[in-house]
Amino acid sequence: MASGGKYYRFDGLSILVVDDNRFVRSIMMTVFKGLGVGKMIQAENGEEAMAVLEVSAQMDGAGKDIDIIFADHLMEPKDGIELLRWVRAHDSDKIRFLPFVMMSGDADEAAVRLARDSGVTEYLAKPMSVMNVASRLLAIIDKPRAFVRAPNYFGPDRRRQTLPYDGEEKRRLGPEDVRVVEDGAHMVIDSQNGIGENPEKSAPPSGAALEESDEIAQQRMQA
Amino acid sequence: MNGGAMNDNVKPGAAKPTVEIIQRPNKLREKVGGSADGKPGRIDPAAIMRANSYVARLADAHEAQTKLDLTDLHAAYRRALDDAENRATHLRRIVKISDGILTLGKTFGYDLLSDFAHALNSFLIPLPDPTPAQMQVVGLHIDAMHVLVRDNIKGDGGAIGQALNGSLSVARAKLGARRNA
Repeated sequence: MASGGKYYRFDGLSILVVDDNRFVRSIMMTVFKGLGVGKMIQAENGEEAMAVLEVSAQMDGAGKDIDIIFADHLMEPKDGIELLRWVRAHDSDKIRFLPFVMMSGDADEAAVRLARDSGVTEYLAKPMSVMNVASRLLAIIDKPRAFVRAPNYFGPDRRRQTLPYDGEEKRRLGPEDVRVVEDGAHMVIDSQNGIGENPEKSAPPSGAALEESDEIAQQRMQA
Repeated sequence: MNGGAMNDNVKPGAAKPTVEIIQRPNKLREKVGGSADGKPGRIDPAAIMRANSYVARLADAHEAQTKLDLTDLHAAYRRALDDAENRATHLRRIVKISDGILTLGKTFGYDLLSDFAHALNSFLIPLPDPTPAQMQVVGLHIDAMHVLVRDNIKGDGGAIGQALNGSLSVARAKLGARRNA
């Protein structure tokens, strides 16, 4: 774990664990209990998780909210990707901004890219271990990313780092296409103009262009 | 936007942006007692040890569960062989059970068991309709997993484990999806 800094206390956290394997769920609960997490809620599949989250969205009061979702990828009915897309498309800010950890044994590039492009916060490649889980918790707490709302995407910023790129400029958004919002609590969005309508804009300032090419995305994932 | 501050990129009178970057306060960090200076915190090593010891107590339950999973896996495999009409359903079941074995094998020291389960799924997922020879490779993986659990072979499996691993790798290389395409 990271050196320095004070010890975190997880007794105020509420974590939703979604997995259709009962034994895996019980191991996850055991791990969280050992780490001192205050409240764990279980759901057997994506569909059940949606019902739990729907109730959470309607509850009003401190301590009753779910803080983080850990969900398996392979589930029926409604798998982890379907659940994630539902979360990111939810009307309530309490739900759609939730940190979402996708747990999967299939950690090849296509699977990770699918989760990333669906709005995942962290990806936990199986097998499961206490350190694996703890490291994802720390990443969520210490390295939260801003959310991005683009015509075809809503979720945490997919750019985790800036890497040098010497190729042809492929970004299609200019600075005027981007708005930075300091609080997403009362967001009103009108994205009538498609990305393709400003193809000539090729030199946005650092950090302003949001559509990265597949080549760049691949370089970033490999880095 | 109600109440949210915008950056300087937005010109007065310009068309509405196509993209928003939404900065949210890090309430989670506050909730777990993160320091105000923004310095990353830590997880108490005692909590990590406690979690590990809680998990270790479930070793016997894991072994029992894995034996059940392997029985289910073998049954799903038999059904996939015998029931061609619903083979896709049975293959999905195999992948799901194997995924469960993969998830927790290494947690309890069965590294090779997790590796075999992962290899099985990596082999099977790209095959929509496996040939009889490919189904045989699936069966070999299931048999190998049985051996690991029956003989309590942990870690990298030593000489027996590596021999099994080598044989399965050769079978996958010969009959994997690329060759089938």
